[in-house]
Parts: sequence; structure tokens; C-alpha cells
Amino acid sequence: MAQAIDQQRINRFLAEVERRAVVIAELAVGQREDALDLVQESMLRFVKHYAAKPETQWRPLFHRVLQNRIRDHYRRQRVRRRWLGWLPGGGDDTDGDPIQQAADPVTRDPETLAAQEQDGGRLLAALEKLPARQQQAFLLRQWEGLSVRDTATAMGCSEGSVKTHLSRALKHLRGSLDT
Amino acid sequence: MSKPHEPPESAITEPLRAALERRAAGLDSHSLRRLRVARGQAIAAASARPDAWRQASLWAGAGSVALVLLGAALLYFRQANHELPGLDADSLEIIASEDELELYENLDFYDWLQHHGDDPA
Repeated sequence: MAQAIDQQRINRFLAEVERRAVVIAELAVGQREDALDLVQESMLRFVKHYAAKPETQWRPLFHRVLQNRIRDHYRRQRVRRRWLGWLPGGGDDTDGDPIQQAADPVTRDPETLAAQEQDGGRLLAALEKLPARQQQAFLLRQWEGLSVRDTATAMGCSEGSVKTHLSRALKHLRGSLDT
Repeated sequence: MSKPHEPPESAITEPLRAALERRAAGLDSHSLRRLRVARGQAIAAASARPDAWRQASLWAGAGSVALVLLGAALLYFRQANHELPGLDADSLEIIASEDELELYENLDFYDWLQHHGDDPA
């Protein structure tokens, strides 16, 4: 018999991951509206297929659903581009400088804050330009805090691949600080 | 693992995490509203699903039973028609006609007459 779905817990979990999910999807697909669509589809699919699973598995499973949605989005874009070659690709980012989007609530001295914002801005721009798999591996592992194993589950690849993607991502990001 | 001239990993991950957090915290009201609606829809769909399944199962079950009953009834009536050879239109008219009741009351007599009518007795 299927386990009863705890709506309050699911609501709390989704509320906890949704903002980061939008940023992750937006970095992957380059458009806010597309990212919101992907997160919406992911929520529906996650609740439909995995809500009855143990809560400890929710985070990697949700990100697995989101990664699948992102991959589907890429596939659709590829097909669209193939048939309508004159359309521009969906990878261009029109959001502008993310640093200008919000004030930092953390209280630090202005010099440190400015330096960190500058580095953060440069790194974020570099992160947006990373190959998709490196970018997503970095986000899931370093920002979302998934283990290597859970990151591999979410990305549908081996743990070795995750480590390779991460190492390459860090190399690229380091390079962006040198320039 | 980093070379001496390379910045440590934390020099990359910490400012990047902070920038990502700012980006997530700075989502506009339209995005937040869409997320709230999406969350509500996902949860509503999940809670509506078992009922929908139950209803669909009930209708499917009822439909199957109705089909079986219909098939059985058709078979029964088809066989029943074959076993009633006298029930053609003329016979029904005779049986249903009140005017001919007297005829049927005297059927025994007519039967006897048919067999013995020509007898000189």
C-alpha cells in the first residue's frame, strides 16, 4: 500500500529548495521564465513519483528530476535549432549583472564585501560560461551541498564523472580569477 | 592539491556561494508568486491523485461488469429465440386476439372433428 503523502513536509521541502532550483535552472538554460517552467515541472514530477520516498532521499531525487528537465530542455532546443536554423539559440543570458540584483544582508566590512562581490560577480559570470555538466556538478556539489554520490544520482552519471567535472570546473573558475 | 601560485579552493567556492545566495534571495515577486503557485499545484495534484485513481478504477470496473452483463443477455436472448419456433408474427396475432378466444376454447372439439368428422357414426 502506498505511503500517505505528508503535504506539510513536502511543502516545506519544496519551499526550501525552490529558489536555489530556479538559480540552478536559470544558469543552465539562460532564461528566467524557462527556469521557472522547469522548476514547476520538476515539482509536479517529484511529488508524483517520489513524495512517498523517505525524506532523506528527497533532495537528490528532486535534483535528479530537475536535471532531467534541464536535459530535456537542451534536447528540445537542439531539435528546434535544427529545424529552424535562423532562430537564435537559448543559451544567451539577458539578465545582466547578478551582483546588482540584491543587497547583501551579511554584515562585513565594506572593503571585504566589495572584494568578495567583485570576485563573486566574476566567478558567477565564469560559472555561467562553463560547459553544462561542469556547471551543474559544481552547483549541486558545492552550493546545494549534495555528496558526490548524491550528485552522481542527480546527474545520472558515475561518481568518477562527477569528480572529473568538478575538477575541471574549479580549474576554469580559478582561471577566471587570474584574468 | 592546489599549486603554490593557485588560489585555494575556498577562494573560489566562498565568494561564488555568496553570489549565488544573493541571486536566490533576490528573486523578484513575479518569480516568487510563480513558485508559490507551482508548489500548490504539485501538492494539490498529489493529494487529488488517489481519489482520481479510485474513481477511474470504479468506472472501469462498472464498465467491465456492464459489458459482461450485456454480452450474457444478448447470448441468452439469441438462444431463447431459437428455442421458440412458434412465436412468429401470425401466431402472436392469433394468441393476442380476443375475438378468437372462443375458437381456442373449442380446439378440442375441432381436433376431434378433424379426426372423426367424416365418420358416418
